[in-house]
Amino acid sequence: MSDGRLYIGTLEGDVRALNLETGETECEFDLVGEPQQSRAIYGTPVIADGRVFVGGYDGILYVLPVDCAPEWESDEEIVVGTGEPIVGSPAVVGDIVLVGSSDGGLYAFDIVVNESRAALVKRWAAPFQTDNRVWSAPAVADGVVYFGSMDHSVYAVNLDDGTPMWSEPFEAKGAISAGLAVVDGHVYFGAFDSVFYSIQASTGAVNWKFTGATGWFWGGAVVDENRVYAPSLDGNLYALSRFDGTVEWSVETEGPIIGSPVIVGDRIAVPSEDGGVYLAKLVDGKVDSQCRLGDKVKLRSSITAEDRTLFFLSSDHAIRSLEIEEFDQFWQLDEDRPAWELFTNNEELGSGIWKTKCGVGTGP
Amino acid sequence: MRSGDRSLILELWSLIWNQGLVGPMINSLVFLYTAFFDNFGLSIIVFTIVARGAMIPLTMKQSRQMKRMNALQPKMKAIQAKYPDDKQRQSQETMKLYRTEGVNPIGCLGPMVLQMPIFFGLFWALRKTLPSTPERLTDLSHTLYSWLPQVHQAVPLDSTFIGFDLAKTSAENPIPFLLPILVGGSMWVMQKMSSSVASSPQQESTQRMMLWMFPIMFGFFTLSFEAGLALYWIVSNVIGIVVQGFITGWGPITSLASLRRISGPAESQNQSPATTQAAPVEEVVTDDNDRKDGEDARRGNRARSKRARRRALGSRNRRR
Repeated sequence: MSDGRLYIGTLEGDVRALNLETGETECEFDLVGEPQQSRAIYGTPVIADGRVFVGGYDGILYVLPVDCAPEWESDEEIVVGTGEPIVGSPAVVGDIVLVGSSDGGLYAFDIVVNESRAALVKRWAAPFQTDNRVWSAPAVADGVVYFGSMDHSVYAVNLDDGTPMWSEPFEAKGAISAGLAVVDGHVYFGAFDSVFYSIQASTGAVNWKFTGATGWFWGGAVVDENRVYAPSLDGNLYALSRFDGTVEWSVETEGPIIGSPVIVGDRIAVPSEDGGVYLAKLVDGKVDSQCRLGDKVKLRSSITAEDRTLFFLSSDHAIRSLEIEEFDQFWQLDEDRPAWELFTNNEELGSGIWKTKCGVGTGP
Repeated sequence: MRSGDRSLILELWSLIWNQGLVGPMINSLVFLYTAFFDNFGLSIIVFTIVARGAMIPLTMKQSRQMKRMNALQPKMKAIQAKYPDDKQRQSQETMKLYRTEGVNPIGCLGPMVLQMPIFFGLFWALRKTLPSTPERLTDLSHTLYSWLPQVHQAVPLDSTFIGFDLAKTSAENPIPFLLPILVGGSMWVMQKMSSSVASSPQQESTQRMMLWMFPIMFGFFTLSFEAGLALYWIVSNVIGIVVQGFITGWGPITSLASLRRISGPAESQNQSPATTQAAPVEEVVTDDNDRKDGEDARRGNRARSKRARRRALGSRNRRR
């Protein structure tokens, strides 16, 4: 989000800047890669220094200005590595952008601005190569880049030159697709072996493992002062102690949790493929309310929040906005400022803004 | 039927399809992948061998039925000759003949019918096991058995095999027409091996059309299907050819190799009593070797050997 706009990437392969108040599309950019089916955006667009960075499934990294124009054109389009799909979000640190590719490499580019247009220049002599796809969004802390690979390993790489920081990468027993959370010298992530890990950022040594899940960890975890909130494809959001990995509570949903949750005040909003958004209290995990989007609607994306409004994409090609009126009440819609849905490519409903009412939650 | 009943049936069908067929296939493929050097091509080959192996009793039954059907051709032709203008009587007599001879014409279709769900199941299993998009990969996680941890650890699978990407269509792979040609070619040979003797010119023409139509059709499909499925077809056809060869003989293949040199006109005019039963059949389908049953061919070969020995003996006798 930036300057009252929400920037989203869709599976139809377009980047949109939506007005946060009305949901109207202020500008739109279509990916250019071939074939057309490869034009999809899985990662979250990243906004930094007045620009939007988007990785496409067409293997191209796009840099767009945040300012909308009638013809919204990219500053830069660069084919990353061999042009294999980009799935994870890019990461921007200062004037460096990092992105993983399905060719197994992690790539770093310097952002060079010439006459207000940004260009990307390779920073490392060669990409940091792993043995499988890199779908995990890189996380940077203290000049070190942390990322996971589908080759089951987590790597720590020097941001400056792309050299490894650990003597050996950390090896899990399953592939790693989620972005890593790096907080206070600890790295948190889950893998396809259904294990959630905490390792030392400096050495890669294991702090603890949580083995109580029965499904893969796909989405990235969220961390606060005391807990790690880990979404699992087994349908549970696990709240684990940051210090020893014990389960403090969990929220059970009726479908896999693919996207990342988001903390809003003293609640956490959890997206589930069962078509519900669950709102749970951080202190004890009690679900105050859940918003059902309908039997046929699946929620696979992460949730973004601003103030008390949640934004997310759903399987019916809609972008939804939900407002939390009262934390201690049900989900409510402000009559003066209704939540909106924007259907990007719905055959039945076409494109446009649809005012909607979410189903009433279950309540406390 | 009420909509509730219909949705219940659909749910039941979906449960059987997913849990009873596609799910076990996916888990078997991934398990074989871990067992065979993390090689998905080998996994498909072993899977196909096991699946076809499980059907061998049925395949053998089918081949035997076909052989017996072929053996009945002279009698069937006799029925046709006896009642040329009475189709109903013809079919009554034919059915009677089947009963008395213990032949079940539908029995020939058993393995073919059984193979169809395996084929379609595998089609879906391959697509799910080698997902092309992230969302399909998350779908795969629900299909893998939780009690088989190694299958979860194997994901994502390496889909390359001898230069081909099994997750991509044949058209997207290097040498796009190689796999369609191999699928079509192996299918043509298999069909030739297993085709029955035609009882009428119409049937013969239908068989001739099928002999070419299916291989061309499947070869064409292969272009747009995943290469993994093409590998299944090729291996399955090769197994079919081998099994058929052992049961009914290699006649069609050997005749393909040497064409008509073996069965020259002089020999066919001079048949021994051992080949007389097959003779009318050959008359019906004489213009090439397409319809010759393997057993008849072997019998013919044996008879020819005997005749050759007799001739050799005769010539020696004359010399004496």
